[in-house]
Amino acid sequence: MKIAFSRVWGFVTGVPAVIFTLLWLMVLITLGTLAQATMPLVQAQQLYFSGFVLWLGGIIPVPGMAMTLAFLAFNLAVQTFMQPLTSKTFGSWLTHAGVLMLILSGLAATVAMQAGYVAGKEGVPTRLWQAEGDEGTAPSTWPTLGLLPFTVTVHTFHHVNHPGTTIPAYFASDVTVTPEDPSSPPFSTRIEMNDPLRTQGYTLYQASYILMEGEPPISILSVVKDRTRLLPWLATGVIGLGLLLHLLRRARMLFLPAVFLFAVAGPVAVVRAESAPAASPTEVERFYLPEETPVQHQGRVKPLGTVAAVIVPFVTGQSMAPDEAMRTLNRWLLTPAVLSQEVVFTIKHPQTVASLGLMGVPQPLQLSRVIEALLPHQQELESLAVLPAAKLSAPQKELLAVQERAEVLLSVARTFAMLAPLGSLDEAMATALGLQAGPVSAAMLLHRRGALLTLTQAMASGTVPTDQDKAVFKLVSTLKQIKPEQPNALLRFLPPESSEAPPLTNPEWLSPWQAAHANSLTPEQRQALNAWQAFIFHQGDAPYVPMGALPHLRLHVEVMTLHYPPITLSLIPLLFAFGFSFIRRGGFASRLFEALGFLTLAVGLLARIIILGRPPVATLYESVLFVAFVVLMMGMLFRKKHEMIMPAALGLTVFLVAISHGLTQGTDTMGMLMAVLNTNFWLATHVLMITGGYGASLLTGGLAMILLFRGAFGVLSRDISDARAHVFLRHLTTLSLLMVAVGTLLGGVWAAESWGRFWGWDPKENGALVLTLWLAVCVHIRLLKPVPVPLWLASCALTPVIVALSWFGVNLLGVGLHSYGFTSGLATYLTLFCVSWSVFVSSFMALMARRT
Amino acid sequence: MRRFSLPQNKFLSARLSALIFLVVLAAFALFVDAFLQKRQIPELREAPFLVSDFSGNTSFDTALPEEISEMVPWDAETIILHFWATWCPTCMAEMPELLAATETLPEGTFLVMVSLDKASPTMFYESLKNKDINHSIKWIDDEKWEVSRAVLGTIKLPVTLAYDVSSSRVFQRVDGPLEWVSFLTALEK
Repeated sequence: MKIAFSRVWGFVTGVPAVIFTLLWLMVLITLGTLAQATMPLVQAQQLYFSGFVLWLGGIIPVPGMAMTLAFLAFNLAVQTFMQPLTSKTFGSWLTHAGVLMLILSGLAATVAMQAGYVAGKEGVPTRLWQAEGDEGTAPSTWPTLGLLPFTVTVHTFHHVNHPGTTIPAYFASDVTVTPEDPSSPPFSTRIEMNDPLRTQGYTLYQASYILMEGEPPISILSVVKDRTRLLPWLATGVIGLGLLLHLLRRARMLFLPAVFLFAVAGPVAVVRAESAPAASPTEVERFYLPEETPVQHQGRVKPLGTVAAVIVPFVTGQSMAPDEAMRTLNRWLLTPAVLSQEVVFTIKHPQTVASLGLMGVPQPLQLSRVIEALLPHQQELESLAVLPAAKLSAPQKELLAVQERAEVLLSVARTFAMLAPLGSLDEAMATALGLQAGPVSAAMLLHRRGALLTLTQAMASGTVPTDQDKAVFKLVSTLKQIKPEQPNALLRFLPPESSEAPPLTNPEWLSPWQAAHANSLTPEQRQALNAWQAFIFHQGDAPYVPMGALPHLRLHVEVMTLHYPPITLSLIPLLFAFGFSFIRRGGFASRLFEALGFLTLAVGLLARIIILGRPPVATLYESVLFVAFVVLMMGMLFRKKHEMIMPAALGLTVFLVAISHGLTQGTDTMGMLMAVLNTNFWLATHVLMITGGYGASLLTGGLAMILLFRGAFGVLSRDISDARAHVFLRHLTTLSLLMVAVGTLLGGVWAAESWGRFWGWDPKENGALVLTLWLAVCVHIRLLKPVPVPLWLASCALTPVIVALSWFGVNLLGVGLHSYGFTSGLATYLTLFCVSWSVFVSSFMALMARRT
Repeated sequence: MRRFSLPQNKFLSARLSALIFLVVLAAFALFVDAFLQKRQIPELREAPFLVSDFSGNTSFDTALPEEISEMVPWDAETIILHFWATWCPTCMAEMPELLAATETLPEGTFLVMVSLDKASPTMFYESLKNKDINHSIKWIDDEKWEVSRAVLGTIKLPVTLAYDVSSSRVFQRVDGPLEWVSFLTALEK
């Protein structure tokens, strides 16, 4: 009996049980994440992430999330008590205690935490605390949780998009809170993203909003009552400290590199582009706009050169050198008449060519020819435009793209239409309109539209047209020809007032069309409009082009990267270094190319920091680049640990930089960010940590793969024994675990600060958690006695597959909060990579197991 | 196989003190948070104006129109005013749920159904006939919109107001249809 008990006890508290529990957790999370593609989050959450028993397919009972977590907590508790506690094992002990704390704090939160929403219609006081209702239902029908002990009135809801886009840049609510208790006075304050209001034990976060035509806006505030909110913070700290101590205790040699890593990551995060002093007006010699001309396009102020490099290839369908693109854009902007002659359009898809009736017409085509061909398709195009992109067939997408290209080109050509000379005013007309004699533009006429209207009314009453009537008639008809009513806000050349202050860090610029139609302009805008007017009238003989008060450094840096793209250029030395790392390892040439590659990549990232003024990790493209950088840096730091570290790191870096080019999708890769990402602190901590963790995990996988390969084919190491390599791999795995785990938990803390919940089972969160669990499995396999080396190496070698799935794979689901990285057309490559990598790993493992 | 025995004293004490340290840390965190929450007064600024009541005034003390206060019993604590009409599709859609929910109206809570057209209660007499007449529900036909205009100002149906008799103020206004069961339960709390 006693023996049976101790046997059961031994199994239940043993390492295999832990490994199986972790693996089962991974399976549960993966199932729940995949389910979110087909059902709402709340339902998936109920089915997979709560409850003791999960009925698979409705029939087979398996342990549910609660049971699994309870077992894990039990196991951790036993570990905490049974594990010998010495200075050597203190780090590991602390880590396990921290995870236990995290699970317990989750349990405490389910009891002590209540979360809901307040739907604050502008001007209507409310105390109603509601749960979230079904998607698309009116907030009034959401189930009521209770009444708050205070009244919330949203007076003003602020909502600003990035100029010219529908990306929310900032939203906030001005509220008055009136406590029920008459002894506490009412107060007013502002609740905004990442800056909640805490009062009477409740925390109010700005969560989202509902805008409807003809109705006051409804601000959705997330209201959380949580007495345990500091526990997850504490657990995060304990886990991080434990892992760090464990790592440093076991591998003192890692100490310096780790310090160095944090020392580098810190400054990278902190560096902010300093705004250069107001730029002086720039001399222009000819009728040509220089590349550095600032313009606001798609919400961001950028040099005209970048606009050219994006728009011109997009419209023409041909790739082009930056200089050539700039010349073309200048032609389109300043002498739009050339477009009646110039052939610009290349349409590649034969099916689209046929459907447009352009078979046999020589390409490239003129703009007018394309517009003619598009006209009969207007109805079809309108109906296609409202469909989601995923439902369109390839020829339909192409057809829409052709229309968009034509529209963009028309907008570009009409940019300065309001400023172009329409004719000339004689003295009499000029006095009548209140303008100066000489050339006149649509903008000038629109500015004096009152006077023009009086003149036309006077004309209608007369019987015999006078000379003045004729002149007025001519003016008005030329004005009508350029269709002044057709809006055009694509390229915004007129800077706003320089005094505009935060929170609007990204104020709105005006396009010449908008300025011509605006009812009132600030003195600065009026001055800028006049300067542009002079520039167009005098064909560039104007004294200057208005540049506004601008961070000049950014524009110059961006133009430079346009001509010498450091990211692309870094591929050359990196490829050389990769080659040399096999032939002449450690030689001068290989070191030189490594250093060159590293520096160019660093310059590329630094340029992005300067241009965008934030850490370079907020989009999928940027995170790929940053991971490449981290991998290379780690490879260089740890080169001495194993001969194959450098080749593995270089190979991964080249691979990552190469795939980053596939992600640019014909943009300038510097889009504007969603409101919640607009915080340098969390980008710098959570995102840098987790992308660094991805990098370390990739390197772990690469090294494990090489060791596995050697084990499988009996390749002997030249200078370092495989046993030492294994020790290093173990440390690298722990380092990855440290970074990924702390990064993931910091993400939770960020979410708790911004949305009021630590964990929401969002796909991206789950992805990071699965990777954490997988790394924990890899670490725990080492504890089995005897150590199954091939299995351990194989599981480490599989890490890149998990990284790829949790990094890119979850984006394919297309649901959740982390929408910054939704990509299409990635699925095939991803599947190909994962399947082939797994096949290699499993076959190498089989071979190695047979050898030993 | 693991030997199942109590660990040696040295380990026990070290482990226990570490555990106790962590527990104390957690307790401290909880305490600090609770303390801060109590003490933390958000950046107090004088409210620019008081929360407006339903008629747009800045005063809290609002007497109910006579038509309504007359029909409500003296011991009423909370009065729910529901404005609706037969020509309002949203109101009619939520009516079955509303009537079902009112069968368990909390003690001291009275529901006044103000219809903006004629003959509204009779529409439901059929369904109410077989049950005991619910004394907690009163029906008013405000055909000329006099009461409604006085209370609501501009009218957009359905609207529900919750009125606290003791403090004579509207403490909740909801524009649009409601989830009635949970709403009434919340009032009871």
